[in-house]
Formats: sequence, C-alpha cells, structure tokens
Amino acid sequence: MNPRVNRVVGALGLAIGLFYLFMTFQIRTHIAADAIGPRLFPFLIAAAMLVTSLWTIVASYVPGTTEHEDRGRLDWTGWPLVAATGAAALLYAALFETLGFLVDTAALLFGMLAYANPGQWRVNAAVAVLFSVAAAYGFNELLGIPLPAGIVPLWGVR
Amino acid sequence: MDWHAILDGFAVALQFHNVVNLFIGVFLGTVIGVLPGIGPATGVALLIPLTFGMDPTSSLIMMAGVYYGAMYGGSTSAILINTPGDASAIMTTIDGHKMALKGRGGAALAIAAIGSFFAGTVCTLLLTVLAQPLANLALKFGPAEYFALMVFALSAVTSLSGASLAKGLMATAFGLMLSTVGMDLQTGVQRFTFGSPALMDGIDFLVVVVGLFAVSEVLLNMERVAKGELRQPLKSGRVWLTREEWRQAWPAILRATPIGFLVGALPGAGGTVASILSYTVEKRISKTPERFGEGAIEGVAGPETANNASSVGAMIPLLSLGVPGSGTTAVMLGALMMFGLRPGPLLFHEQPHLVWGLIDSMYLGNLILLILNLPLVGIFVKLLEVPMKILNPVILALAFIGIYSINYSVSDLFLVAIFGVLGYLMKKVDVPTAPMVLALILGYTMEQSFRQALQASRGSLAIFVSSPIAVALLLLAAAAVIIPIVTARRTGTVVVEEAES
Repeated sequence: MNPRVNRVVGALGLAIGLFYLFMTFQIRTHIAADAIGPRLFPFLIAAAMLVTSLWTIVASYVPGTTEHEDRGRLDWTGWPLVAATGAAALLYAALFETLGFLVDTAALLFGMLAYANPGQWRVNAAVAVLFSVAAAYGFNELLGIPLPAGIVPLWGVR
Repeated sequence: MDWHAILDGFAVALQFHNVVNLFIGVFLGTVIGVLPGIGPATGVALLIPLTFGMDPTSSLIMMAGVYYGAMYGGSTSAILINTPGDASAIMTTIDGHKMALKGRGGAALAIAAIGSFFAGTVCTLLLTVLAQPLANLALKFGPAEYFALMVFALSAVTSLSGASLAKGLMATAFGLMLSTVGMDLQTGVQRFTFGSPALMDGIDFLVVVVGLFAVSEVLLNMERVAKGELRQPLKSGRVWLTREEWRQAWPAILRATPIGFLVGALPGAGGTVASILSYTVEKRISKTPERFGEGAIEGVAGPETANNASSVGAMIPLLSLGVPGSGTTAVMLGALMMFGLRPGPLLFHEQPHLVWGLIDSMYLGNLILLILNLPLVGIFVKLLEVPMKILNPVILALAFIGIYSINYSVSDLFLVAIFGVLGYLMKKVDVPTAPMVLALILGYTMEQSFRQALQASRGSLAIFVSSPIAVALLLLAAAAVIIPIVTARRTGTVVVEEAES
C-alpha cells in the first residue's frame, strides 16, 4: 500500500473515532444501574481508535515503517462491476419479501451469471432456477426454515 | 472416579435410538457447518423445537452431535470457498484456502477431520477423567481474569493479522465499536442505535462475518472477472496427505488438543479463542513461519483440532457449573432448562444417566464424524471443479439465505451487503478484517468483565493486576503488541495475510 492511502485510512479512522466519541457523550447516564455506567468502555474504545489512527498517519511519514512503504497505486479498474454487484445485493435485499425468495434469488443469480459467464444463457438459466428451487425446497421443507414465498407461492411464508 | 456411572453412561449412549439420533445430529451438524452463516449455535437452536418429543438424554445427545459436526463442517467452507462456516473456523481460512488454491484442498479437509477426531476423542477422555478438577480451576477466573484473557486474545490476533500493526489495531477498535451497538443490558440504555429498532439487539456477528468474508470475496472475484483475471477451476489434487504433511501436522494436533480443551473449559472463551491461540502458537514456534498464510498444513491442523477440542471442553462449565462455555452450549443450557433440568454440580448426582450418557456418546459421535466425513472429502473437493464464475453467485445467494434464516430479518440482508462492501474496501487498502470480527465477538464479554471487575473493586484499576493469572495474561498481551514493534521487521515477517487471495 502507498503512504497516501494509509493517510486516507488514518483520516477515516480519526473521523470514525471522533464521531463515535461524540455519540458516546450522547449516551444517557442518569439511569445507570451500575457505578461504572454505559459510557466508560465506549470512551476507551474511542480513545484507542483515535490513537491508532494517528499512529497510522504519523507512521506513513516515517521512512522504514510498513505504513511508509510504497507498493504501488491501488487498482480500481474493476470498480463498475463491483459497484453493480453491490447494488444488485442491495436490490436483492429490498425485493426479498416482495418478490419472494424463489424469484428474487433466480433473478440475482441469472443477472450475475449473465455477466460472469456470457454466452451460456442456458447453463446460466439452469443454474439460477435449479439452485433457487432446490434451496427453497430444502430450507422450507427439509430444514423447516421458512423463506418468503412472494409472487410464486410454491413454498414458504406467503 | 465413579466407574459404575461411566459404564451406565455407555449403556445409555449405545441404545439403538440414541445411536440413530447421534448419527442424524452429526450429519445435520456437518451440513449446517458447511453452509456459510449457519453456525453450530443456530443449528442447535433450530433443532430444539424438533426434539421436544424426545427424552432429554436423546435430545442432548443429538444436539451435541450437531455441535461437533458443525465445528468440523465449518472448516469445509473455510477451506474450499474461503468462507468460515462459523467464527471458530476463521483461522482455518488463512492457510486452508491457500492449500486449496495449491491443489491441496483434499489434504486440508482430511487433516481437519483427523484432527477433529483425535481432539474429540482425547478430550472426551479428559472430560471423563478431569471434569471436576478442571471445573475447580475455571472457578478461579473472575471478571478481571476474563478481561485480561480477552485483551490477550485480541492482541494475539491483531499482531498476526497484517503487515501494519497500527491498521490491525484500528480494525480491532472498530470491531469493539460495533460490539457496543444496541441496548446496554446493565442499564437498559440504548447505545449507538440511532433510534433504529433493528439495532436494538446489537449487530449479529454472523452478519458481519458473512459480509466481511463471503460477500467481500464475491466482490473481489467479480473484480477479477472484470479484469479477466478470474482464476480457473481450482485443482482438486491428491486427496490424501503426503508423508511430509503428516510429519508437519501431527505435532500441531498434539499441541492444539490441550490448548483447545483448556480454553473451551473457560466459560465464554470458546472455539474462536482456542483456534486463534493454537494458530499463534504454531506460527511462533515454527522454524519456517513464513509458510504461514501461504498454505501451511499446521495452520489448518492446529486451529481445527483446537476448536473441536474446545467444543468438548465447553461441556465442563455447562455440566459442572451451569455456565455456558460457548454460544452453542448457551443454547444447550436453555434446552436443559426447558426440560426442567438444573445444570450445575448437582446434575452429576441427580441425573447421572443423562450426564454420563451424553459424555460417553461423544466417543461414538467423534468416530461417526470421522467415518462420515473422510469419504465425503473427495465429494467436497469436487466442488473445486465447479468454475468460480458459476460458484460465485451461488456463494452470494447462500450467504443471503444463511443470514436471513438467523432472525428472518430483511434488515440483516442490507447489513450483510453493506459489510460486504466494507470488507471489500478494507481488503483493497490492507486493513485486516479478522481482528475486527474477533473484537466484535469478544467485545460484549470483554466489556461485561471490565465493568464487573471495576464494580467489585469500587472503581480501582488495581484489580486487573491483583492476581497472577490476570497479570500473566496482560503481560502476554503487551508482549504480543510490543515485540513486533521492537523487532521492527519490515517485510513479511509478521504478515499473515487473511484469506483474501
């Protein structure tokens, strides 16, 4: 990793630590049932985060430290696909109960396979449908774990 | 030792219906363990409603089978798809998956099965002989000692988890932050929930584990697809171990067995701490520590042996003190209470058939585990033949199903996706994820021990240096952090890259 990236990581750590410290002071303590209270431990964690973040930043300026080593630039060339996969995962979560496990899962699988395994739409469709059906049956019927049925009420909670 | 009660226990364990229940439990446990996100605690919890009609002994025998079956099964997904089936298999991903990448996945699975069998059998023997004396030792651990133990466990893993100690400690602090989300059970005050009911019970560590490991791995693989670098189907290679691998693995198994057993016997420590300590010991004493993180078989044999040993050790506080030694035994404690039983020292006198039937069934259970799983090694290794570009979306779907089944909560699906993206970013910038997950798991116990110790001492920090055990553990923790700084070896010496190929 290069030192600049480590400085950004340290700065993010500082921001998270400061935000956490601010939120720690927002914790109500007047109804505390024990003498120590619910603030002390989070306060110590915030201090640890701030110290280690500063350590990361300072070390990135000190030659000879791991944080100062320059191992080249970060490669972000694949980020559009990663972002699309992340977005697909969030969309999957959002539609999970509306569409139901079967349709939602088959759609997610088919979409991802269409990109990762292009030109093989029959294989992709077969994997998407067979896996979804097998998982829905297995979880709902064999393991007794009810999954949302959604718009195809074969198994699961309607 | 009450030989009569022990032999009576064998008579109970060898009854046909109990053998069948044990077989079903071990098989279900292995399957549950293989599925990412469904760990032994969830497996046992799912089983409780199904065992209501059984007598308590049969029910507990089946649950124990699920427990150690899942402890073994967790290693399978850790080795083959770089996704620990449960938290205690995290350390197995480090070298296990690297072995799979090198075509030694079969050997890694085989040594995990053999180590688990050896540890399970030896530790059951130890449980039979030493239950009472070890319970007395565990009784000496007060809150200060527990806090010191947690500090040591976190320091140990942080010092091993990346090239940059500072970033490792940042990840640890972040994991501790996550552990404080939710309602504070001592005061009823909400902390860091931002008014969201979904966060009132805190963040389930499985959500974080599956997000940081499984989902982020899928994202990294998709990146490789975009760059045209996605690896070819992994080589399955030779399933059995080579003579050299045997030579390297056996000492690790022998060392990890007592480590796992003793850590498991400490209430709250559990398989995760046992596997971390075992990995740490193996790397520290190795003459070739640079092999760790690159597919060292000791890095699989040690943690896998230790976590199964701890599952037997965890039975000591459960049966003799009525205190759960792990998350899974906490669920079993609840099951015992539902059957109207009072776990604790009196249980040995009031229910000798149940206690010794359960303990003696473990000998048979471990044998079933070995017989069932060694032939399955080849089948599991065949999973490697499936192209990653097809396996990748399936892993993502499995991760989502596993997470949804914990709380039936769509919020958890969002969280797992968010932690997946976070895990991807952390791996891109070389911030280790293992310390964060372990801090999240240990954070609650750590805080409770910290507060209980300070309450007992009326706020005096001197309590943390008032016992030799606590002092020794804190000194070890300090050494784990300071030694890497002092030695200041710049490249590669303390690098145990996580399983993030």
